[in-house]
Amino acid sequence: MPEILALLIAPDWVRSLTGERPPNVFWAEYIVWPLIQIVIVLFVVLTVVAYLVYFERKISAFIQARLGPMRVGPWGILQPAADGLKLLLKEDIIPIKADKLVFSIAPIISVVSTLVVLAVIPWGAAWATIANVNIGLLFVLAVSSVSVLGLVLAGWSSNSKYSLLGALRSSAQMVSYEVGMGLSIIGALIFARTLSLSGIVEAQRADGLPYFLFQPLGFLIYLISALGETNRAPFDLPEAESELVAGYHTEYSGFRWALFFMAEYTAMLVTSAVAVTVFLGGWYFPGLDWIKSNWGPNIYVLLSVAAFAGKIAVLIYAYMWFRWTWPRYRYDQLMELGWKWLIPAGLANVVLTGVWYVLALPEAQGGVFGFVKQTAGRYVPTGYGKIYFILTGFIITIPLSWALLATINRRSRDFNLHDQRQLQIKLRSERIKRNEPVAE
Amino acid sequence: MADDNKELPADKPIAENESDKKEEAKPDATLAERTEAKPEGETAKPAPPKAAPTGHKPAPPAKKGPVVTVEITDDPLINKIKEKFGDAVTEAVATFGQQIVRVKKNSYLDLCRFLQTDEDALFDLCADLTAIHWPERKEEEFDVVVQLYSTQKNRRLRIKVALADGDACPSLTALWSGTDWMEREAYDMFGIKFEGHKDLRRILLPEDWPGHPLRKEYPVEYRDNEWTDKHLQYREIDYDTSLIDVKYAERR
Amino acid sequence: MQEEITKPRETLLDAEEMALNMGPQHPSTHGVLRVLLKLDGETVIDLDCDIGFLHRGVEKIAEQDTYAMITPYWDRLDYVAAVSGDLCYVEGVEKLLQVEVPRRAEYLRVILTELQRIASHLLWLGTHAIDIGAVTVLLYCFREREEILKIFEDFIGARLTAHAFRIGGLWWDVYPEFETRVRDFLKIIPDRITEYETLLNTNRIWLSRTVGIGVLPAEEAINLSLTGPVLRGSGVNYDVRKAQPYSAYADFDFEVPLGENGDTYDRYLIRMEEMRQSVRIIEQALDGLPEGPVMAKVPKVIKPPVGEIYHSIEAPKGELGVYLVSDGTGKPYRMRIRPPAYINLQSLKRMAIGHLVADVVAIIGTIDIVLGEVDR
Repeated sequence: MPEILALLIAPDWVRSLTGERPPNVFWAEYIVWPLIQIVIVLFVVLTVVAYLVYFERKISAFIQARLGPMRVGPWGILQPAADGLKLLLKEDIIPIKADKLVFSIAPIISVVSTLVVLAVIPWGAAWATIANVNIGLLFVLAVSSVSVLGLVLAGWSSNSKYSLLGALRSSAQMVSYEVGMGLSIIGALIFARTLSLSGIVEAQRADGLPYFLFQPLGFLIYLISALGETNRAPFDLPEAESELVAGYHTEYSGFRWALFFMAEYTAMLVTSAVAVTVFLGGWYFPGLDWIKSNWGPNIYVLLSVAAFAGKIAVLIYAYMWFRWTWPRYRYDQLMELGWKWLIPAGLANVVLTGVWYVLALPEAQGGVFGFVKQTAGRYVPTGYGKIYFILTGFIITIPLSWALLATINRRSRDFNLHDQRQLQIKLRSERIKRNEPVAE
Repeated sequence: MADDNKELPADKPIAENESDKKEEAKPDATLAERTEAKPEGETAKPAPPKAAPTGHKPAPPAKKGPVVTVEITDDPLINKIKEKFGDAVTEAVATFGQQIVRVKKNSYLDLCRFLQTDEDALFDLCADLTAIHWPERKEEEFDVVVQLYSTQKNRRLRIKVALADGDACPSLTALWSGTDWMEREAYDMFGIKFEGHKDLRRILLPEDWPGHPLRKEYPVEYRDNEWTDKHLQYREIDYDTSLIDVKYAERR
Repeated sequence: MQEEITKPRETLLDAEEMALNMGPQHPSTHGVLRVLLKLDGETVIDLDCDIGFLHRGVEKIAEQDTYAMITPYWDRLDYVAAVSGDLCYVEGVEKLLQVEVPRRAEYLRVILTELQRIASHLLWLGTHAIDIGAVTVLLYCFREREEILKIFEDFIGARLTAHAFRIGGLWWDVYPEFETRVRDFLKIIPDRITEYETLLNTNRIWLSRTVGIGVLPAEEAINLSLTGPVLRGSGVNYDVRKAQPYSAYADFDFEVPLGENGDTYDRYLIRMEEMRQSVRIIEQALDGLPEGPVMAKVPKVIKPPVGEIYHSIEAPKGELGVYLVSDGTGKPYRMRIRPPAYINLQSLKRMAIGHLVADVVAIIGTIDIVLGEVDR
């Protein structure tokens, strides 16, 4: 509880601790309070990651008509603790022919690079964010792509062919999906006009709408790319257990293996957090301003953190849902999806969004419609402007991009499954002839 | 096969001698039916739906005798084979309604090629290939047995060819690529070499396994041998080592 | 241009080949199959199957055992379709003995065998889906398979290696609730099959993973001696139940689903449809289940006359055959098992070359092998 209490009075409490008074608050604002925040965030995130595994097992169990972990504690809620203990106590095996140094540091690279990103995530309003970096989004993309280095090194240093194949797959996959991911965000940045994550949330607050309404295609591309980026099903090729045994972490055991697991779930959390920040309005939800003015700033901050967590939970649930529903892509199909679909779609989205935005500018700035007006130093869409952006996003951008992609990919094998459909239709019509139930 | 031609002793007890002959109801019961019943391309006619199969009885209650191995005389295809291959076909019999043609080794491959391509035969599917060991039959200790099936005519035929120990049998892989592993298994289990097989290795047993298990002289409880000594470094049975060692030494 | 494409890959790309050893301990080789892959990148340029890790010498053992003693070995060949194995062997011996099996026993055999076919196909579907990455289907399939296993357990006492049949019929008549329990199961299973199809049939990923993978044209499939759904996926109408009906199959009205393209997706559709047809057969068999004894008069000591017989049935994996040579004693002189999975597995090489590693797994799944039967 002390952390919660500290939160309620922070950062005034920190100032009293250091004995500083505004405006001279260097120690309180830059050293003590961030340290407290780091401790809290790490503690909470790592606990949440442990429990994500639990929820994944539970959710998969409910999807699959079983119960999941039930033995350790009521409904198995102590399962993460038991798992952690088991992994800590397990023998740490390093294969004889492995490169021992690289083998040891690979999981650390992986987990550290994902944890570092947590520093710039806007967890909540005002003082709930650790660091508000003005190039936050670039920082996230840059640092999170370092984690692939961990996977590659792990696969290479294991000196096992399955690990190597897994590493090869993951490096190619992450490089490809990184591009699609970066492109998908640019559309939202046109509206936000800042790279600071907190700034993007503030922009959505000022515009009054989350950007997934303006950027439906961008949001879709981001979600798919994020699945690929985090190696989650249906893109879990680097660790595809039915093909590569366990991919890059085949030779790992014990706590090193657990670090990879932690990195995977943290990455899931981070990509969801970025998606929430950029597309779902971050910690903001309608009515938050009223709460701030009526219930006080501390409640306001805590509620904003809760809203952020709730939005992340929804996305993570979707990730789990996908994983337990869909089959796995093949390697070449994954590449095809990345390079032939997501990247062109991302480019088309950027271009089209730019065109709509330029058209919406006031006539003085060279626009046509004047649906965007300048208030308080930044461009905000007017009421008509919002409708205009939503309609262009949904009605024109998506079909136009689809037509473009269909033209590009018309000769692709995976796109032409028509003949195969025919067979199925034939079987089905025969079944209808025999008055038998037909599948939906 | 020599044993097939033996008439069964009349007093041999066979169960249910008086009951209806079930075989009659099946398509592979009589030879005449088998060759004529199925028109080409219609291998799987839907069986006539029976409203109340409860009281189903095969229509002609035929008297069933002991196993009869009869010479085939009235089958056009078999007659054609006999005509074409003459003395090479040493035996053409039907037992339990199943046709068997025994052929000399020299004509074996030709016969198979003929059966695969001739428009009366069209045995396009080689269902099985195996061997039998008859140690007491000197000079032709092995029978290679091939089960052929024609998906178009819906009939089966069994080809047999006798071999001496050490003789190479012509390989059928050029005709039916599916015989690849069957011949490898026959080689593995019996030590029959197949001439023309591109990849004749042991398949179920390790490469350096001594002996061929399905030969009659190969004992069932043959646990320790050079292979187990070399690769496993332990004896499965410790309690009777003296006996085993003697046997083992003898075998070596 | 054409020549350049038909050139072997390794000369086009000046890259080193990699030999990958898949199995015998690998999650998706369905047991102890070992496949040696020669890879160019992830493309398979050559492969070789190494089998025999589970070789128990059943054919040799059979030469030392009496006819009745051999039956349980057949449960353990294809251990996910034990009842089908039993049926093949006991019918072969009955043919050799010329024993007429009572109608009731024949019908019950058909019911149990078709239930086993559904169970086997369910297990196949689950494992095939898990190979392609859809984990959830497996659990759904096991849910339904469990019902079949419970029916077996109450009748036979065993769940997996159900030693259901005896030479001459069944050892016991079925228990009183058998019919209602089977009917209850038949009520749910068509909807459940529909449920799996909703998950997979039009799933884009499933389609792109199965359509056009492991294509075998009809001629090639026949030439490779393939049988069962793998052959019918290529459009060859050969089902032993229809072509040469055994047991009581001539009494029932059912259809043999056929594919057109001979790829993994067609074989999937065929097995799904076969389950529906099995449901139809079981329903008809239950409706027309005759009364009467379930065991024919069979001598205590089974000594078939001198002779030989080849008998084959349509097991879930293909044509399961037995070739029995009797020398007039109580033990077979030679018993040859024609294992469908063993012979179908030959086609792996033909199907997989040119595809990726991930497809090898999918193709192993679509052949539907059980190593107990492959290695015997």
